[in-house]
Amino acid sequence: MADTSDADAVRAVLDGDADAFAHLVRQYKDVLFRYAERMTGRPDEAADIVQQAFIKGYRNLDRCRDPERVGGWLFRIAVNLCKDQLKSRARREVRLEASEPLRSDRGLPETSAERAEIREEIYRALQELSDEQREAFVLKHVEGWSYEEMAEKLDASVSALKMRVHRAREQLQDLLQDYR
Amino acid sequence: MNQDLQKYLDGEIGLDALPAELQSEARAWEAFLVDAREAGAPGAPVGLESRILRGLEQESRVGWWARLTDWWLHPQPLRVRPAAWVAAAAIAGLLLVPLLTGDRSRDDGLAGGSTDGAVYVQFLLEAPHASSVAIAGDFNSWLPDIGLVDPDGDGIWSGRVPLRPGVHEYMFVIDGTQWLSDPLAERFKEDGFGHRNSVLAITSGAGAASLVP
Repeated sequence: MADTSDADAVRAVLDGDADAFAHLVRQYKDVLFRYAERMTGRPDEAADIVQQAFIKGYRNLDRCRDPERVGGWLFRIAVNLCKDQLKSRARREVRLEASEPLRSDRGLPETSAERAEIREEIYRALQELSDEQREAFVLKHVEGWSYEEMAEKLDASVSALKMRVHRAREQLQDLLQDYR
Repeated sequence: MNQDLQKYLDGEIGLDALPAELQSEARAWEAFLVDAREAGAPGAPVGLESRILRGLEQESRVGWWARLTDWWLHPQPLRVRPAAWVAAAAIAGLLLVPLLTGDRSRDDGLAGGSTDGAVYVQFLLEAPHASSVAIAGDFNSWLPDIGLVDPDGDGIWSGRVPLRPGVHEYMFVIDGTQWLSDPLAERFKEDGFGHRNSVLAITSGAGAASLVP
């Protein structure tokens, strides 16, 4: 179904061709996983969330009002599942003490190994942000959403979202002060 | 952080609008954001696609009847109050009292875990444009998989849920995506995502329970 559009796939599934949903899985599994992994910091939880998102999407596909934008609709489901997961985790687990600021004793990374290491540090630093800040930062700077898109999808004002992103950047700057 | 730099990173102004001393910092931030985009897995791990497809295959085999049975056998707490329905809150209270589980041995037809000490709470929500309404809270791990029903199509969604005595936080979820606080809840708590959870406290006395606003 390489040439199938998202809308075609949605219509096919709704017409009874369940296999057509595979097109949507192939198309969006990566972006959903990237987001979920950065939000949860745990690949195994992210995989569960992505699977759950697709199953919920499949079950409720008839409620997707704009089949052309089914990708955004599935992403929104994943965003909410991440929120659920983080809320649930916050209630299950005692929050660990804030770790020491993440510092590297060098300037800008030069080698691929150093770059991989600094990316690992950034990944860890992202987990130090509040859930709210991490969500806003990831959507803005990893997924490349506009503030208007974020406001529509997250039911928050543009100014509130800007504030979250600004604070996220400032905190990352503190956490990774020797990187920059 | 410098406000002009924030504006640049927000895409509101160009690099040229920044003073020279900030331009180098802006470039460093751009490099950082590239690394931030690359931090973490680039995509789904090998095997996830086939795992999802297997799950979907099983899902289509299970069918609606099995899902309905599963929903029935795993009841979740439901409590919904419509925005303009002060009266509904009173009704909910009235329904609550006779539904208190004074007789622990009574089989109430609900499975999915012990309901010892539970109080059955009637939830109501006016959502005339909703296709589905669910409730999520600390009592069901914040998974919005407890559906309310609107059998007569009047836009009033309802359901009853066994809740143990204690303080519970919850929200309603409309159409699987829109999270909504209970408009008539007496107490709220910030959820850390810019919304407010509704808070419901239930105390248990000797052989009876009561709602505490």
